[in-house]
Amino acid sequence: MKKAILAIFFLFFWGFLETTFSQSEQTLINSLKKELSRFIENLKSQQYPPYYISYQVFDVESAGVTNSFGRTFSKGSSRFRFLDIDLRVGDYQLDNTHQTERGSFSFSSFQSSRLPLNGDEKSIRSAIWNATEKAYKEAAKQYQNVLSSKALKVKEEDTSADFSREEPSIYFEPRAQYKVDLNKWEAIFNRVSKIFRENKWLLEGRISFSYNNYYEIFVNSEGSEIAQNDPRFWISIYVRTKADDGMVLYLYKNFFGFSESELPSEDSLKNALTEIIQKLKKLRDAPLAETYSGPAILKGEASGVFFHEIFGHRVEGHRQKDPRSAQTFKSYLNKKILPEFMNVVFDPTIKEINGFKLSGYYKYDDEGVKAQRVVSVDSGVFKNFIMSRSPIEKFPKSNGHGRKNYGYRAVARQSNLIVESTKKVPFSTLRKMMIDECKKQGLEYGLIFETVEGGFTFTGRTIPNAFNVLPIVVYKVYVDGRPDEMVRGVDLIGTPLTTFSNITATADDLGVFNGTCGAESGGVPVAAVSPSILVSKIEVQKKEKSEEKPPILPSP
Amino acid sequence: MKQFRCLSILVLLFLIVITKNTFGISHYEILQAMRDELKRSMDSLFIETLQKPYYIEYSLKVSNYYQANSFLGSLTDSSQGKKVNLNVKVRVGDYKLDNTNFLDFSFSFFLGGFDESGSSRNVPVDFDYFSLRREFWLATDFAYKNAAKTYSKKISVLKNRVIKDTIPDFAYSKPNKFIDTNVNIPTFDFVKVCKMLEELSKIFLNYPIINSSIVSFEHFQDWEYFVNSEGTEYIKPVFFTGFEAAGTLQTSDGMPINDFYSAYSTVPNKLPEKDSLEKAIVSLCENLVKIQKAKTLEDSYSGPVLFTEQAAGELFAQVFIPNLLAQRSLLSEQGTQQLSRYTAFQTKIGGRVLPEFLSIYSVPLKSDFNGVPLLGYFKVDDEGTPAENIPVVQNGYLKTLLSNRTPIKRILSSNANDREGSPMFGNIEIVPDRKYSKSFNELKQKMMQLCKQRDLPFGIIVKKIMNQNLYSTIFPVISPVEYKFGREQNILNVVEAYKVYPDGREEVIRGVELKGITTQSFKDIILVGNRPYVLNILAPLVSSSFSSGGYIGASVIVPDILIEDAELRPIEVDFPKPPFLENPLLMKN
Repeated sequence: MKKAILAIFFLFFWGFLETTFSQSEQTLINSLKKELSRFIENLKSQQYPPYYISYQVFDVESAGVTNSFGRTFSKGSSRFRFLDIDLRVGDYQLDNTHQTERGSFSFSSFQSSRLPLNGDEKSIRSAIWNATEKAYKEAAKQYQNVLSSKALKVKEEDTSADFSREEPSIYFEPRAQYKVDLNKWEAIFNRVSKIFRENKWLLEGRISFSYNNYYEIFVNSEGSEIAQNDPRFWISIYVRTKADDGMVLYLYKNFFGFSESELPSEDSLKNALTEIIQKLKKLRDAPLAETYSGPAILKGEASGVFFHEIFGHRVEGHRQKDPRSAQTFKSYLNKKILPEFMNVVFDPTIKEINGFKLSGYYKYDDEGVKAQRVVSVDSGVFKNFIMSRSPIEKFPKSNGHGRKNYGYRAVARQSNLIVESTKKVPFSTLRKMMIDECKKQGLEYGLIFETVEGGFTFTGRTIPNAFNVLPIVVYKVYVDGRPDEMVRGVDLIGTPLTTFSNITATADDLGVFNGTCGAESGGVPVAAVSPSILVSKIEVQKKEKSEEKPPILPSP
Repeated sequence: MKQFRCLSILVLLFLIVITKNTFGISHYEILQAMRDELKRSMDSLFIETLQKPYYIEYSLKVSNYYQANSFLGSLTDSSQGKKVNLNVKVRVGDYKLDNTNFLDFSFSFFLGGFDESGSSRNVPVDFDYFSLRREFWLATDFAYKNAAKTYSKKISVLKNRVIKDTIPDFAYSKPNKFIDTNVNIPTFDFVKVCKMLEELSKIFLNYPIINSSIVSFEHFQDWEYFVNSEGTEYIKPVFFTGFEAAGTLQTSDGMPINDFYSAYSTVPNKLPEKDSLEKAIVSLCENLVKIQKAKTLEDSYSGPVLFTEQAAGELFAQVFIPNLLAQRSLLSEQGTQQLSRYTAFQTKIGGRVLPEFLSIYSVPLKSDFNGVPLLGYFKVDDEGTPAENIPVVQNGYLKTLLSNRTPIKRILSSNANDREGSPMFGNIEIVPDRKYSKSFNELKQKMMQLCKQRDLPFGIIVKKIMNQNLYSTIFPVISPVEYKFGREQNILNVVEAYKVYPDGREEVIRGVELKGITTQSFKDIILVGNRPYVLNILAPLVSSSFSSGGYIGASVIVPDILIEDAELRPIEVDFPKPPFLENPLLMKN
């Protein structure tokens, strides 16, 4: 029955497609479908026939302009089409992508080829054919390796299948074309970036605009056919200097929108530049922080990044299968890991929250599965991993988080991470709660982390499962009422579960971080949203720093 | 083609295409900014506890580029833009002993670990006097600190070792001023070029047996600026234009067969016309079809081999000429490092390296040969030393090696062959004694005569050898099989070769490689042709084995050569299976 409905939908959309798609896109989709069925049909008699093939074309249009110290650093645009092929031999239970201990599951060897930008059906099919031939030979070889490696090994801890069965998805959008005026941005940057030159102590000062639309066409042998736009517009500011003791200091700020009109105005950019430069100057003169153990507040944006790094990456489903991974949360399913007033949700289906645009939004993931809201932590209890089509024990299905950049194989990746709380107090109260806690612990001050730039987290089994988050702007808040003092040069360290258990309250605010997360399936846009959180005990250690002095001569 | 190709594949998303090509700043202002910042650095750049710089050099490259690829009638990508890059070298100590020629893993391998840019930096494309000085200021600061640290480290290594090598680190050079701005800047229509590429790439549609193909174009208009603290200055234009086409297929037994056509020149209007390119591609396709049907050698062949035109050029360019470059061994904490590649002639000056009827000249000052533009033409090398045409091998005997300002034991001064920071050849002319120059038919006859003496049923003519640049840039993109990088030592892939029977009949063979050709083999050249051939190539830079190379335009003028004894063997690896499905181009619907 389901099949019949799908077929009707398909016909309906196909009709729609005929009238609204450009000839070029139509030719491309036809070519993909024809080659896909030809390979599935004709390889059936082979020893290892493919049981699944997907073609994903990234038709990428991008443009950007960067200004450095008041001069245009680079400017331009480009367009190209990449074809990624996921070709699997074996069956859903065991296929060529099966991860063996010696690592036959190779992320970098994913097949990727360029396709002509126009061209008739035959020439496009010829390119697809050539790429598929290569992909098939590689997959058959990998599968052979998997079989022989499996024969030599003891039973695996996780015996779940290599690939999940999913319902096909049908969705079509014609390719959107955005008219981006780079000259306008170049002129704006030329005007607002004068401030870089006025601050001679700055070593780097850049502001850039970038736009890209990934028009993604996905077809697979299960019947999925998806064509979707994924436009993104960014403005990024980056400033760097060096303190007198050699420490390299930098700050950055990203603005994100789904259209050009959602980016900030010239005046807002001017203010943002002034603010970031002033902050960096203050940071340059700030004293070094000492090692510290005690209460701290992570402001919304910092807390979002903190959760992304130390929680998000550990609940990416496929990691629970990796025999080398520590699998921190695997044994905590349905157990409490956070205070009961907190939820953590991954929601790629929403575009904005409280007026903030969220860059982790998408309609379908890179395995053709519809984006889904996933409640990972519900009232403090761990409920769900984020899943691609690589199943794990107790999680046999994807929840629409199989993501990648072109040239990579999709794995479970984060989308919009949202930390929710039911125990919210005004920020001023949260601050007072921290001061009270400091007093209780007999401490002179507490810390407020305003921004963190990211961090790293160890998830392997052979090293301690610690995290190291890299704060950029940190304030000391004195219990005796002295003004807050900016400090620099610390890393935030700890182990995830202990830190989580020390969260005592949250504020009623919301901070949003938009950025690109890099991992084994390439850079993908993500967002992290959180209220400010109060942690009763954190640890900081001194940051490693460059021994190089600032420039010997003054700026010319 | 150039290194840029690899870069464009890797960072496609960030590929920036610049629309503004005109200079907003004059040649004079650029040089003045470099002079002013260099002077300030020489006068006041030092840290009290460390040595002052005794030499600083600044170079700046402003590059306008155009690049496009086409596949079966449609572009796969095209870009045009501008890039500006500067490079600063600082020397601490003195000419006898300074911070260079020292391999320091701790610094050179981890530059910029704390997000600090290095001594080579990208500069805003829209730079002005002040922004240029600013970029040079930051690069000089970085270069000086590194030079001073390396110098201290080198001194401490030297204190603890008995070093036999007392060759100076740097050769002094008289100041030289060379300003070459009075040149015609080539204008061309990039849109038209792209259209032409699409049309030319359509030719492959007529040959569905070819699995994959590419037609590619690249044009660079570079301006190079240089000043050093000795007073040398130059401005020179470096133009490059390249057209390449390549096709690849798999035979029924799985053997991959590749062929290519390339034409390089300085300016676009010196490339062959469109109809010649068309003919070249048709001939490339026909050739692939012909080779695909051919048989391979049943067994290894050892005997006389005649190398003609491109094959003779590639043989010299890949095997012999790289040995003519002076190479300095580097000192490290572990002692003096051994040179690893192309070292055959480092101690051979005065010795015989070729038959006495052959001489080799380095002729960078030749801009063309019989009307064909030469890619390795330059008037001043990259250290600002005026170029000269010199004999390198005279009547078979090695006279010198091509050097830059880094002395080696036998060559203490530069003969103006610094290209991109290390000695590299530009134009090389192989000149035979007329008595030994014969027509193609005479060479063929001589080969057959030798075959008869050795009871060989046939001789072999090699007409085309795989080019190193195309092998590692174009072919990985179009290869129908998983691509194997890196090549076995002393193995050359033959693209086109023929068996020649005693009755003069030629029969094409496929899937052979040349084994064991070394510099020694060139002594066995017994006769050469009387038709010099110009091979323009992008040659891999021969620098230290620790640095990754790029490619640079170079030319080899070479006659056909007959070698008394060479070994060809059938390629004996397991080939991947041939395509499972037929190429859609072959399908009727």
